[in-house]
Amino acid sequence: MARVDAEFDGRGVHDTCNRDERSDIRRNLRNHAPPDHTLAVRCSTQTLDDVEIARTVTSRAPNSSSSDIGGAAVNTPIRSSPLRTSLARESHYSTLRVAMTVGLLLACFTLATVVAVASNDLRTDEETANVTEWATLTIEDRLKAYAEVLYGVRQAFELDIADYRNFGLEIDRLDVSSRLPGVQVIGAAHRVSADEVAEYTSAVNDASRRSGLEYPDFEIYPSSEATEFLPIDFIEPQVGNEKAFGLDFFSERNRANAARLAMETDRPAATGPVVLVQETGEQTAFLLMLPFYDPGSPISTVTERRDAFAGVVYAAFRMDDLMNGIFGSNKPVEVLIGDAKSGQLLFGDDPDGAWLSLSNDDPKVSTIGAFGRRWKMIVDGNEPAISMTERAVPWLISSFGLLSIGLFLATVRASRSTRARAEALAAEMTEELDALTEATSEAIVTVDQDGRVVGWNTGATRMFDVEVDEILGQPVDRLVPQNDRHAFAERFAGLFAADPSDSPFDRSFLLKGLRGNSDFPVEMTLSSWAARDERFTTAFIRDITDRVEAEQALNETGELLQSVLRAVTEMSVIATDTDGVVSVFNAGAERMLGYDADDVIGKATPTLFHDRHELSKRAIELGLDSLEDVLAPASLVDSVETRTWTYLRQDGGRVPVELTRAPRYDAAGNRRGAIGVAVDISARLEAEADQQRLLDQQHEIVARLTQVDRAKSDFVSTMSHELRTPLTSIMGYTELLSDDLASAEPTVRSGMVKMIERNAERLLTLVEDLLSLSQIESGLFKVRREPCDSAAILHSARESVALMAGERGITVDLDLDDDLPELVGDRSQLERIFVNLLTNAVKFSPECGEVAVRARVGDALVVSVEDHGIGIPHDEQHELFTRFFRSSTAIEHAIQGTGLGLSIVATIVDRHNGLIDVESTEGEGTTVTITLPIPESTSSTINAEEAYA
Amino acid sequence: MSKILVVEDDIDICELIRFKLTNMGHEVVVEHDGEAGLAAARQERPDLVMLDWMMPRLTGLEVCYALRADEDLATVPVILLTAKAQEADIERGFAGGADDYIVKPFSPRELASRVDSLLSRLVR
Repeated sequence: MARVDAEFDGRGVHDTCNRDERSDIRRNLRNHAPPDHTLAVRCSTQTLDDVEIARTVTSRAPNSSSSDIGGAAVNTPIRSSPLRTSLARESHYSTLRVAMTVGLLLACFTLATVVAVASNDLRTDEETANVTEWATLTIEDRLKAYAEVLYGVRQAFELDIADYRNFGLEIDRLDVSSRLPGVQVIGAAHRVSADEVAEYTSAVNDASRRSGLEYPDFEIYPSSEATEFLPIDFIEPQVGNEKAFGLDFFSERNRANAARLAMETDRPAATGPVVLVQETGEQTAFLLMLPFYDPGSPISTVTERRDAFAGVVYAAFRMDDLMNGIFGSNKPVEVLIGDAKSGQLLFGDDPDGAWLSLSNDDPKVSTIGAFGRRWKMIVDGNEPAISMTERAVPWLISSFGLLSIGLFLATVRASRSTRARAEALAAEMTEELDALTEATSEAIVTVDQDGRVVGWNTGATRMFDVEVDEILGQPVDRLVPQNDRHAFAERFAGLFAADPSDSPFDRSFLLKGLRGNSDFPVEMTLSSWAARDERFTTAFIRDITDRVEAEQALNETGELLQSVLRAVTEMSVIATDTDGVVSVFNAGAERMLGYDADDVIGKATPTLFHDRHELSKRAIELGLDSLEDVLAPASLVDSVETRTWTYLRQDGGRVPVELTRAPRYDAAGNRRGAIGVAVDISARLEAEADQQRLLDQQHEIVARLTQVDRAKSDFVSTMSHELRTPLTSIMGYTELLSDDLASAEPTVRSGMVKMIERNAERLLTLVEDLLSLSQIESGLFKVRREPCDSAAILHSARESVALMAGERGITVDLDLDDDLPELVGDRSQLERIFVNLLTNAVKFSPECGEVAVRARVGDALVVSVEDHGIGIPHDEQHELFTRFFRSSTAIEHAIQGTGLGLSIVATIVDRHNGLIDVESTEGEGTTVTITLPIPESTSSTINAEEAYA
Repeated sequence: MSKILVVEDDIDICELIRFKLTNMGHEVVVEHDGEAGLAAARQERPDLVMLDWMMPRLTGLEVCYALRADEDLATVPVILLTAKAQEADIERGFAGGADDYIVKPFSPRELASRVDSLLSRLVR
């Protein structure tokens, strides 16, 4: 960014405009300039970004003369009040940087010069340089530097009055007159339209009072009928300059021209020679003015600048002080400076008018561009023979003054900038805050120090059902129920007493709000703040009815849960955390397991009280490596698991339990561990075992009864068959005998009678068997005890089967010891034993078989009956004495029988204290051996009878 | 004259029946168990079969089933002799294909009339 500083015929143009615009300005100036004027252009290029300054003097017309080309009256109304807070403009920022840069560079330049000169003590070409040229450059540089200071000062005057009054204090402290030699005063004048005069006057006076400075009363003077004024409303130092306060720059042509030039060009503009109104001596002075404009208004064209013009800052220079400050003791012998246009002498004594008589072509004459004025300078004499060091001293003074001012202004500017940004931000935030305040569901209520509502948002209207019109100015405790008002008031009081900057958002508490006649819980956060010496409190109020209800519900649930856990003493309730460590161990668990909750919670996993064998088995089933994993929450896939386990009590006892485990979840649905509820099932298991035993017994009984029933049914069926079969023969043959047909043949008839006889015997045996059986069954089976001849019994038995055996050609041999003893017992029963045995032997023997009966005497009488019949399968022999049992071989061979014989035999033998033994081989034959005790003394038992139950 | 097969395990009853039927002029073949009876029936092709129910090896009812399943013997009249007198038993007997049913003890005269009745039905 290049900035071209052009001066046309003493008229400064300082603009940020581009080349075309600059040309335009030049053309404009040329058109306005008198034809005899030569343009002297001085260009200064500053590359701000690189903080470099290149100065070039390009040309200077030696014969130029000053002229005033501007000065058009500015009649546009004032569009802005100086009271308005302004925001910084970027162009001003740039300006400030220029000022700072200039100051710094001046200082550097000077220091460098000092160092160079001091070290070398050179008297170079400068000494021989044209003293006029030197003086010209020196003065111009100084003027330029002062102008830069004004740029800085200008920043301050965009503040409102109160602020620039404060700024004035700083200026005062800077001791302007000593630091900036020749500067009589720094001040400001604001543009005021006629109809604003009264308001403006009082505003300035108010600001003066508030600033605490002893400003004189402000009044615009001289009074006139003008439409607008440019009165000095700030002046620093004011002491000694009070007279200038209120002076209307527009009232005096010289000052008005400079002000308008500044206004139109946005450049510093100098007045012609003036006598300061506050001047008591005779010094000639001039004013350097720099305009300022309404912030934000465009100022790129002259017209825009006229419209936006808001005032000027200015510095007043006493020429003598200025020049002395510039030249110090190095003042050339004779210097005369005058204003080219007016011909008025600015500096030096020229009693004989020599200054004016000299032509511009005279080598003694030089022209100085002084911000819109041309100064004609005549230097008479040689450049003083002084060292560069000495020459630099005044430079040092002024440069350090400039430097300090520049730094100060930079500070002000920086704070201004910060403040501006803060204000801009604040404005934006305020808008957002307003929007938020209205949008939020929270009630936002602001209360003043007296506890009266001054702020009320829509949230508050909704929450309290109170319109903003009803509540503004009302005591805020209207919003709380009567009972809470005291506590509420104390809260507020405490808040106002506290330092508002001390954690303003920390004061949160719960209380009740009032809506109509009903109250509701609220959470309130109070924030206290100060504005314009007043303290306010803003309350952010949230209706927490839902939360309170939820908390209550939660509390109730929690309380209920605790009660349940305490009350359930018959169940073990054990919860584990995500690591599987016990976190809940209820009274039931303590009782069941014998551990104290405190010894388990947080210390153990349920593995502690589980049977390790069961855990290993389960681990294998689940394919887990560790026993811990079996009961870890992760082992629960998703649902509830119920299994039976064995708990190990602390005392080593074992408790069979049914354990139901379920995963625990937090509110967010994340697994939080597991809970296990175990019930002692030992009683149940016992009951189940009892029940099972009972059931088994019942099954057994049922099976036995079924068997009995089947046996009975079989018995009836068998008896029917066994009884009907002989009866059939008896009745059938009897019928045949009674028929004539049969009675004709006597042999046939006798055969038939034998058949009848035989079948009648069969029937009788059967009936006797049944009778015996019945007696045995009913417990009425009686054994007579009488002496019995065993040999006679055996013979008798053989007679009984003789007919049956004879029919089939079977022989029954009796092989009896000679001295068979007498037995004691029931003779008929003993005979039945052998009748039955022989009947069986005959029945199962093949035709023409042999049956052998052997009786041997030893310690007892041993009688064996042997046949060579079909035999009995080995696996059926143990059932031979069961009633109605018939061997499969007997059935197969269609051998009739009831299955009662051997059963009755066994019973009789037993009643006689005897033994029975059966040896049989299927297909080979059977031998039944009966051992009967021989009584020691037969006589002792004779006639003895005994009944057996 | 007809050929009658009597299968009865009680020899006395067999002789009783044989005596009566022979006197009536029939040819009587006697067997004492079911298997032998079935074999005799297939061999002798009797005009009537008299079966005791309760017999070794094959019961009378089983023989009856076998006869009914045999093409050649399916229509031969069968009289079941039994000591079983329950109605259910009688029904089982008829369901098994028996044509008549005589409960022991029986009158030889009645037996004769039942045989005549069945044989005359066969003739017609």
